[in-house]
Amino acid sequence: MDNFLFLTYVCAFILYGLAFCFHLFDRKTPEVFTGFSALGVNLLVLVVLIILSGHGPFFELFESFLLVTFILGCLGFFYPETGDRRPGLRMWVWMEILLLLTIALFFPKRPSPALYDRTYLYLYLFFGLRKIALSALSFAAAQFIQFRVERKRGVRGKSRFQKGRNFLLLGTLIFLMAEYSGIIWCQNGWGDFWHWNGGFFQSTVIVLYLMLTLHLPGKGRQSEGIRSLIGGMSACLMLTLMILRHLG
Amino acid sequence: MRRISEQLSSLHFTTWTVVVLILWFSGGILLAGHETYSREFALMNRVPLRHWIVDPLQGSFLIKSWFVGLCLVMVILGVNLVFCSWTKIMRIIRIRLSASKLLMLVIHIVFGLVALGHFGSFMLGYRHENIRLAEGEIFSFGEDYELALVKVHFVDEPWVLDKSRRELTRNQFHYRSNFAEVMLSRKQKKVDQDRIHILRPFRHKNIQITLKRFIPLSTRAQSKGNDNAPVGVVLVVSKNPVIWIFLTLYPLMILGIMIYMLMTWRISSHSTNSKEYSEGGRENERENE
Repeated sequence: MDNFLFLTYVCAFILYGLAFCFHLFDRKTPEVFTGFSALGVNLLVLVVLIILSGHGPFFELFESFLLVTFILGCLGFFYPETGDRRPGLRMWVWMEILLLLTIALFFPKRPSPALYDRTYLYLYLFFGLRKIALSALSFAAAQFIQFRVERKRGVRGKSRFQKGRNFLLLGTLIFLMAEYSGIIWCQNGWGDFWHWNGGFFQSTVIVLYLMLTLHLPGKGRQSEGIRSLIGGMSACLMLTLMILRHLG
Repeated sequence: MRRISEQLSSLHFTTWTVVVLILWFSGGILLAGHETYSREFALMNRVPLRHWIVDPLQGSFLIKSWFVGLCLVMVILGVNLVFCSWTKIMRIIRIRLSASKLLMLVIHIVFGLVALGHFGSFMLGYRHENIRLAEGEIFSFGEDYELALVKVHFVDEPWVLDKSRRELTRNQFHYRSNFAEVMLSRKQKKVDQDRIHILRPFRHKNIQITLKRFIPLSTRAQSKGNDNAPVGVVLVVSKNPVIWIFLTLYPLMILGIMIYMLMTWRISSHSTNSKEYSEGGRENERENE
């Protein structure tokens, strides 16, 4: 079954890669076809992972990244987009997906073990919502990159910036929900909702960074540039801390 | 005076305070990665911080300085929050603000209370860690309370207890079926009695009895005549008088952000022509002022 997982993962990787190439060369129909197939294969890997482990695919990095790529792919695919000029928003979405799948290459391609508490509701919500938050923040990053590209082209980008900010706020909201689930899980499991350790500090750094992105002052072109850059980096920070936590 | 007040309530001040906080916690991550300091942080989890901070025998100077620094930065953020909220309240009185801005003000006030509740939980109440009990044993703690372990109901094979938490599968360990029955009494009078499961603690007022794990019964307990019960428990007794305030305010803050997001999302998604773009933009810019 591990071989099957690896093969489907490679298949999804290639299909996402093709979708990216077709977008780059402005071939719409093949892009839609390969993108849709990639999402289908991505979903298949997730279903197999769920069946094998008996729980949601968000505990180990491999399955987590596949969940994030699926949500991100769906957002990139189905989120209404205007304008025909390349590179479009989808290009950054495909790139982010390819980056995540490349990182996943270095982690074991198997379902996470069926540990006894992995069906506990708050634990489920804590890990699951975090991955959804990462997807929303990654989509916000794609919007911010597109905003910067369009701005260089001289396109008025208020709406694009606003979309980025919306998804940034959505990601923050979902991340806070995950934190609250974690608080209840910790309170019920250890009798306290806060522990002085690296894991809690990392979560706090993410919350503070998200707070920072939503509080950046100023107005005008330069300020928007800084806000889009720092806002777009939030997914990068969360991803880095997630990997470090996993390796540590 | 007015200039100081303006600076204390400014977004620039908030930004830099949050940046310092991020750096402070990043320093905490680095310290926690070090074995010695990691043990010291673990100590902070076991004792109330009001005792830890004043006891020269507990905790190193570095970790205590880090904690004091953290509290100071939080106080600065709190001052910023108070001044910022006050300015907003003044604006509401003078010029009527939009619903979204009013909601944002409420969210900020709730955030301040959540942070206060967080700090209060470090300082108030008590915590007794790693209480190992076998059937029939009693643990006494503050305010003349006594906790007795009445019964341990363990349906799985005892050998699974030699495994670590991260190795136990759901076929080996059924956390919903295993439980312990505890009785809480005060001044020799029974107060409450209930079952506790892993991840399902027992609560009496602000006192929480948490079942951390089951353990193989030691020879010490067996020598006391508890041969029938091969399994004991590790409990945590904690009291946090502000926990319910914290647990209520936190989701309210999330709910507030959700409503705010929906309100401002609509503004942007309806912004389809250039005039509305600039309206939405101005809206954001005003928020950032």
